[in-house]
Amino acid sequence: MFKVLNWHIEDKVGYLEINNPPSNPMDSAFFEEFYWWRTEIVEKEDIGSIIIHGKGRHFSSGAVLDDLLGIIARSYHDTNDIKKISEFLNKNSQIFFSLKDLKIPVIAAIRGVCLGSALELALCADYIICGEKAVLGLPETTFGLIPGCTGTYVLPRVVGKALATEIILSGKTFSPIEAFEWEIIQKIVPSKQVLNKAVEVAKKLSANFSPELKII
Amino acid sequence: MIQSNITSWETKGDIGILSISNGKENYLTEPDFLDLDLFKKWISDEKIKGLIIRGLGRNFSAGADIENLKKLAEDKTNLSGKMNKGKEILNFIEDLTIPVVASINGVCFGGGLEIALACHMRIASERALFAFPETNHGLIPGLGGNYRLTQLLGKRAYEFILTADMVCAAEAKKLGFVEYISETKDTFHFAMQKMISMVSDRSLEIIQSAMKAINNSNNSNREEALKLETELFCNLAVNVKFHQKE
Repeated sequence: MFKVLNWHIEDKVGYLEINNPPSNPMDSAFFEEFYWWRTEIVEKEDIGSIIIHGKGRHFSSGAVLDDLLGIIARSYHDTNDIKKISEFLNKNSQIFFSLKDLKIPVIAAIRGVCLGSALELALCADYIICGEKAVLGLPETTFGLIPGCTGTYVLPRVVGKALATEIILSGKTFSPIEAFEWEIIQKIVPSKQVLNKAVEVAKKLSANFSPELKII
Repeated sequence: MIQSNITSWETKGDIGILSISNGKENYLTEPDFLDLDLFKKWISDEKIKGLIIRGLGRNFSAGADIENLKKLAEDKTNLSGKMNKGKEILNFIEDLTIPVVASINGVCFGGGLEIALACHMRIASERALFAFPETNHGLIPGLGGNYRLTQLLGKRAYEFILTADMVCAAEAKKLGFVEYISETKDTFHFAMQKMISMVSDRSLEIIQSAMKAINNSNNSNREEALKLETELFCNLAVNVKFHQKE
């Protein structure tokens, strides 16, 4: 059905796989398909939970900068109006955050790299499970930007202003152990077991799900 | 270096340092501990990328001087005016769009702790001590400390405020209002390193954009908050693209 996203259901668990290996970057096709999936598909399915994961060794390296900057530069050239471009791009943030409006738990299952927009997507999930060797981070400020897909809003609400400031301004990557200590992620498992353990978590959560889990 | 009331400030490289200096305990003789207009002017003139607040000498600040406070309280209108000014100073510090770090040695009590809580991050020496002793004197914290501590700790703030108990740095970190305990004896140096890791190689524009967005994260209207983030992002993105073309 999709090019960059795979969506299938098994045993009432919905699996959304980012399928653009090896690093599963989020290009414009990803954002279009994700929007379509969220607005037209997911709520019509008979499922109790959702697992978001990446194909192969990595979750995702985040947004494709050239794609994104290209869109912004072209529309800025055409309209000269930052507000308009911003309105258009803001759809991506709103749609990421709208995972919080679903009535079922969303689990991000992370192996390998999960950077920038990819971590922002994971932060909009309700539970993050990480492989031991995962690499997390919001590196945007190291290339002249800031996180633009919910990160500056969600991260401070999860870890507090102090730590969020440090993570965002330093742009440094961090390990699952650090992320666990900071309560950004909820579980660390051996890399090969990430998806299996995510299924266990998904089933447990959907059985005892409380909407309060969605509040950040 | 600029002197104002019981504080002084100076710039080291890109980083501003605000020092509280009033005897050994750095008492806040009056709630308005600096001249806000002068301070604002300095922040914008110097284009600093970060601010560290510290107490000169062995203590951060022991807070209000009770005897002096009693004297001030004789004129209620005057005291209330001064308290409002103090709050305005702390609100200004909290809303700054550059990171503000408190470097805390020794005692950090009452008004001193209220200053530290208005900072974005608190770094303490191993032997630092914290308390809101106000309720022992028939008072409560008066410069926004109740609000800020509750924002950080939730309901755990009640006990800390109502018992007026003193806690050490490790306990303060565990409670959640101290983020780091200095790994070296020189807390200020440690705070400086932390600040450098956040702001060096970052333009003032990036820092301000990030901090504007982060400061806005307690906005309960998520749509508005996300809109602001995207706008700030797009403003930076246009520049990045132009630089790449050049």
